[in-house]
Amino acid sequence: MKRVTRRQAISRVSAVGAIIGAGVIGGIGGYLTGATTGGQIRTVTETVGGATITQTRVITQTLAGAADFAKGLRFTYITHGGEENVFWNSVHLGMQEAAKLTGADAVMIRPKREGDLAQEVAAFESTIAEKPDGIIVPIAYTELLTYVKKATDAGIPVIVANIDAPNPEDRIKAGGLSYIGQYLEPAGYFLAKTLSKYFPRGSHALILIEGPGQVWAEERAKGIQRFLKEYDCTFDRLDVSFDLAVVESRVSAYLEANPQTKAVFSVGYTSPIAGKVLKSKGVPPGQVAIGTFDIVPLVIEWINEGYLQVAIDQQPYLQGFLPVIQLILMKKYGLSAWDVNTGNAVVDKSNVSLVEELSRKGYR
Amino acid sequence: MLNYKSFIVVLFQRKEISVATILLGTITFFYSIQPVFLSPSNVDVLLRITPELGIVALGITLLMIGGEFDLSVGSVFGFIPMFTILLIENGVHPILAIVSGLLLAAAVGLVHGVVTVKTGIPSFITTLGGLLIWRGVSLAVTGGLPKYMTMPEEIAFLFTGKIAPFTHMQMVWFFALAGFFYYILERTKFGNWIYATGGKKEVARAMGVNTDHVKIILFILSSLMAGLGGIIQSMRLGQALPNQGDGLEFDAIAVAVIGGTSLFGGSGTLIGTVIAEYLSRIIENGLIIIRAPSYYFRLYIGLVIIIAVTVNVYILRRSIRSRIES
Amino acid sequence: MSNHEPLVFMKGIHKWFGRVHALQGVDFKVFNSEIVGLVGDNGAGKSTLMKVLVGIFPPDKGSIIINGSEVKLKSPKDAMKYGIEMIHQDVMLAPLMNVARNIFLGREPQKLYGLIPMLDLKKMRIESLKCLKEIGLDGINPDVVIENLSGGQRQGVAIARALYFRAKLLILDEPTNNLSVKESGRVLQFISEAKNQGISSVFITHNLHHVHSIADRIVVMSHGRVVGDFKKDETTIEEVTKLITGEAPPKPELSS
Repeated sequence: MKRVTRRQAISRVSAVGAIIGAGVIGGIGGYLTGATTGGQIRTVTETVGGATITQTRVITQTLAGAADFAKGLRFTYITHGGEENVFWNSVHLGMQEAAKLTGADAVMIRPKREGDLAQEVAAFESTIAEKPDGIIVPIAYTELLTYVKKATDAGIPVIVANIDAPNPEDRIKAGGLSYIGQYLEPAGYFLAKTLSKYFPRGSHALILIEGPGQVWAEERAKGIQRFLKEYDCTFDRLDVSFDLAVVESRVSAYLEANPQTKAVFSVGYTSPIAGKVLKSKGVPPGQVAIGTFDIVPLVIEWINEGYLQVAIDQQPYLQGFLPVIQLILMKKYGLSAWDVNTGNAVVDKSNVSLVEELSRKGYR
Repeated sequence: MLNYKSFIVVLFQRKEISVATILLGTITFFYSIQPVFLSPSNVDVLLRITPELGIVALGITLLMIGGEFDLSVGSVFGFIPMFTILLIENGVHPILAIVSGLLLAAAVGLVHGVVTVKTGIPSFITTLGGLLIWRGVSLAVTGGLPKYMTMPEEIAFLFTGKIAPFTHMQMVWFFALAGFFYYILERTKFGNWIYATGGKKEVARAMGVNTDHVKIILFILSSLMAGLGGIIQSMRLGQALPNQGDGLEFDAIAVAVIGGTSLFGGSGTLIGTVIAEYLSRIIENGLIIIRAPSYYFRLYIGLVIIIAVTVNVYILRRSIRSRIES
Repeated sequence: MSNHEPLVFMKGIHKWFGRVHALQGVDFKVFNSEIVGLVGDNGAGKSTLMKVLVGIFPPDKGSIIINGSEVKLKSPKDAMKYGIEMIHQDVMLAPLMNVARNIFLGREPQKLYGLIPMLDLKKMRIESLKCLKEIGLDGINPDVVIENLSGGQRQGVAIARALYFRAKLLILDEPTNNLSVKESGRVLQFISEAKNQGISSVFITHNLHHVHSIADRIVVMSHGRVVGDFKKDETTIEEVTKLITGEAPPKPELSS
């Protein structure tokens, strides 16, 4: 066949070397990474971004050594909230601070794309294989209950946070030990009722749906719609996403076409953008009532401007903090989990400056 | 002894070596941090979720070798299962509904192909249009709500059933299709035409190859694979989501490139795509297993792309030198 | 003076591109076992005339007669059927594919395994070696990818391919333009070799020395017309140059 030249021989040997080397380096790298992340101080920089507002917060975490209460316990929070979804940063902070206080290790898995079920399911399955000491998960899709059951059957305690199953019985059957979060449908009703101070009976309203088809969005919408029907109002649903640029353009188009709209609701946190739209059209604040859920910088800004009247805070910090604490207590003292309604805290002009301060720090 | 040596020579001159090396390195990396990574249950997860995306990557790889792109595969991936469910809801027999869905996928590919080839508009643009159109149709038809899939046991089994430890039907489909496309690409006339059309279209035409037909067929295959992948995922999850497959086109193209397929056409490898698809899922899965924040995924994949392509070029240069000398 | 029927006779060819009258009533003949050098300045119409012969452009007026019968060439594939093959200036080889696959592109040999058709790679390899050997290129490995070959080697492969498929007439468009002196010599050798095997060639070039070294006949074109048609010994390089640049008036047509 072919004679092997010296150069060929060298290239062959180096190719073999490269493959073996890769394996060895991989192994060493892994070992080193595992060994050095215990007992280190890690600085995490998070950028809280929306289309219009960006803030950077620096959070210093001490992974171990500060407290030993829950040392060695590992928890995983699996969420559907995409990386551009600002709300989840507060949940994440709550989770991290609970972990810091107790010396536990908690990690949050967020998909690349908001609401990507396939990715979330894959993450869930990988997590079950990894066998943490507890899993926290919102039931954004009823399919997730199957995996809750799988985790429970594998001996991993599961707490449901932020979004409950539409029928809480199903959640219990699947093994979800408690629900920590806002009670969604009543919250929708509450928001609409609270905002009704600012618009007359029989008006036309717009409801922005940031996550069409997702449980949390549909439940809140149901609550809003229930009140509006009682209040003799007509309404339209408009599908949007958490991408503020998209919301702005669609709301603008809608309000142009429907100038009779007297109230704008959001099942998420994007309705304040309607304030921006109205301002740019020269409409004074208060003419159109706007209500929303959750506290993000956008919400604070437009309450201050006067266009946003009411925001309902479900206190995401608690939704990150409390599940971790509950799991630790269950593990250490055999206590059972308990449901928590993280609330219908109203934020409006009267308390916005206090909330603003805390929001800047990421707590609300 | 001589045969063994030549086998090694050939092995290390192949384009797939770089991605195989990275795969091995990545596996040992994750395993040494957290041995659970290679536990039976985790391996099962990996093998179960990769095929539906890998099938799409196979189609894109062939199309890229032929010199074109398909940015609509994610939207088709989401739209076709939606369409199939709609048919079933309206009383169409499930098998017929699936076949119709696949035919629709092929028709979509035909449209992309004919428009690209006859108008000379770059495929990047025509399929970008496809991306928006089919996603839009998906959302319009469903109002943004997910559709639940009810499929008789036997049919669901045909696409996603478990037939042996670690082996599910979707894996069988994946490897069967990979094998079939490999045969077409490397061992048939048509495959030679694909390489020529993507490598230098004028040459293929001068030698009498109908490059228009070749490209149209490749577009059809790409959309068909996207539709099939979507149907498999929907069967596995029990529903079709309006945003299913969102962004899949970039993942599929990245996988093809990491595996050794050229962005410029005329050169590529299906084996590389298969390896790279597993690599992609392994990275995702591994980062979760070692409890790294999931933000690192994009960073890692970006690094892998750069490393893989650089190593590819390096190995290619070495093999060029040794070939000229032989 | 030969009394044979010409292998190819292009009679009264006209071609318009929009308003440009690229070919203005051109008569062009090639005989068996003959090398014709087709020369002229840029834009004279040499390439266009040959592209008509090879089937890339249909003539607007005039006819093409091959071996005595008139033919209509609708594509290069038609021309190939008559044994006319063009070796383009940018060699028509796919740079990322290997020699064997390029040689058989469009004409791949297949084998049947049961009912499954497969490329006969073995045959492609063996036949490639054979066909390269015919023009003295047996040093090239058929598995080598085209982009790793030198310019002269690539021209050689293209010519070898044409010869293998029983071309009777080779049209070479500026074959030595981008080649070194040594490689140009090789290409001219290939063309002469081909002639020894009974294959005629027309080669378009600017290099009058090349023409003088191997051509049997020299045809000069200018502004879409034939302005000179000589046997090699009937003219000198200076005379041809003057015809090309227009310093001398066209000679009356010589019939052979």
